[in-house]
Amino acid sequence: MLTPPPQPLSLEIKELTVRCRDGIRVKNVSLSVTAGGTLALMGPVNSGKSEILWAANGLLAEVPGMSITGQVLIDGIDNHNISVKELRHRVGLLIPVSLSRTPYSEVAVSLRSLSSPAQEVAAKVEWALRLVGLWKEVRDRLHQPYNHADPTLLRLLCLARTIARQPGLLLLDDPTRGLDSISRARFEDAVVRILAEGFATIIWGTREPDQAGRVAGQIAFLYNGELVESGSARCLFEFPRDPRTESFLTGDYRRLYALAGSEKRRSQP
Amino acid sequence: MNEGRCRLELDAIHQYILRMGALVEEAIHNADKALMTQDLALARKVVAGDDDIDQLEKVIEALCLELLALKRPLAGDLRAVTTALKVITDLERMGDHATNIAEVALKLGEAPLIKPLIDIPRLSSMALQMVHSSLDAFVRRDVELAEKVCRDDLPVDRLYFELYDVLLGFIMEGGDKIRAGQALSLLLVARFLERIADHATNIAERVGYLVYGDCNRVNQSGVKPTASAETK
Repeated sequence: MLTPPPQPLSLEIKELTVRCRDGIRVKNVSLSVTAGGTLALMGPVNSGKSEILWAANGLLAEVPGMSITGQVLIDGIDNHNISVKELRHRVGLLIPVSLSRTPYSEVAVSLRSLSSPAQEVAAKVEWALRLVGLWKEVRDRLHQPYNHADPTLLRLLCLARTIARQPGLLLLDDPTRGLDSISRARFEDAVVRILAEGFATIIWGTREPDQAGRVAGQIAFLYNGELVESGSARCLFEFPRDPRTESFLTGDYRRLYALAGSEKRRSQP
Repeated sequence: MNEGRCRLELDAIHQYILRMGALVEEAIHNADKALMTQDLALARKVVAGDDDIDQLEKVIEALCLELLALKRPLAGDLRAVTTALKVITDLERMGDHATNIAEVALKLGEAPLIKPLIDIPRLSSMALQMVHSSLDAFVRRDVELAEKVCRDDLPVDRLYFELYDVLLGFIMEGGDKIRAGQALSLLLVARFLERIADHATNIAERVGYLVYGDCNRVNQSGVKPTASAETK
């Protein structure tokens, strides 16, 4: 049994390798986050961020054609030994897709399986909406259809839905992709408030170094499915040890490609 | 220097710093020469030239702030721009000290000197060599040279203290206000040169930050700029 809410959960990934039909997506990645901490998985597209996040909540194993080796320990327990129901309850992966028509039901949908009394559900919906900073905006039209075309509203409602059950581990897979800078700030602010509540450990996948620096104390830089370097945000941004991290952070793509090419050649027998 | 998004701006900043460094070296050299040869025209030229150095500092500072605001440099670029901001402050102070020396030369005028100047030119050439080497180390990111600059600060401090004792002797003799005044002015010159060497040491220490991300990697022996002669 995982520690129940409102306790955050630790995550440890040991030698995770993910293969699919077209090749290796994640290469022997090991990393850990202490309970209540934040980690940004930073890297460009196809660096393996999503696969690691999906592996953490067990969803990746359900994707056909994926072969996964290594271990994912949540709260010290191998995720294979945790029931799917408990895993879904305690590990929340934000999926920015609408599941319902009204703000209320969008959030409440995640509470359905708990079969709590209606009053308790309403209280939890309000708590989640307040935490993501939407309560004032939607309280008068909780039961009316909302504008699904508003990406900020949709994303914040999905965030409220994900946290309504107080997951001990919150996984965000490039959650502000495509948002403008002010909406991004609003979303990041909501996550900072969630973190301050202390019930969740947060892993945030992002392509933007700026965002990684703003939201996480620890950063892991991934490139081509490989964990290149990890450390405190301050150390990594000021003095990265690996030339690939340096090239990514300074935007020196020619050097990054050249270094990645030579890395590939070295690893081939 | 990498080929990343800040390359052009950092190249420009670098070039400006080299220009500023050349002006500062020239100012120190000329101030010293003006004092030695009692060349008042040269001394006035040094004083007037300080505006160019100050102006360059403002230009470089503006370029650095623009780069920080627009490109948000990270990693090596971040270290390069923050180091540039620190280095120009040191260079500007050195320029001020060169002006101070030139002002002393103007004050002393063409009156005969109390003693032949031997140690001050020595001190001056040591300080100038340190300034030159520190800029060289900064440009080439040469940690060994930077470490040598830090080591070279010790003999400068020693010579300054020797001069302090000699000139204090002149002042304490008493009786002759002109002699005491000259001794005091020359003591100030020695002090300015010693401070210039300290600023060169600062630049050398920043090379350690550029290369290793740690200011304390260069000058590990902990040779610190001396606070004042009185504390020796």
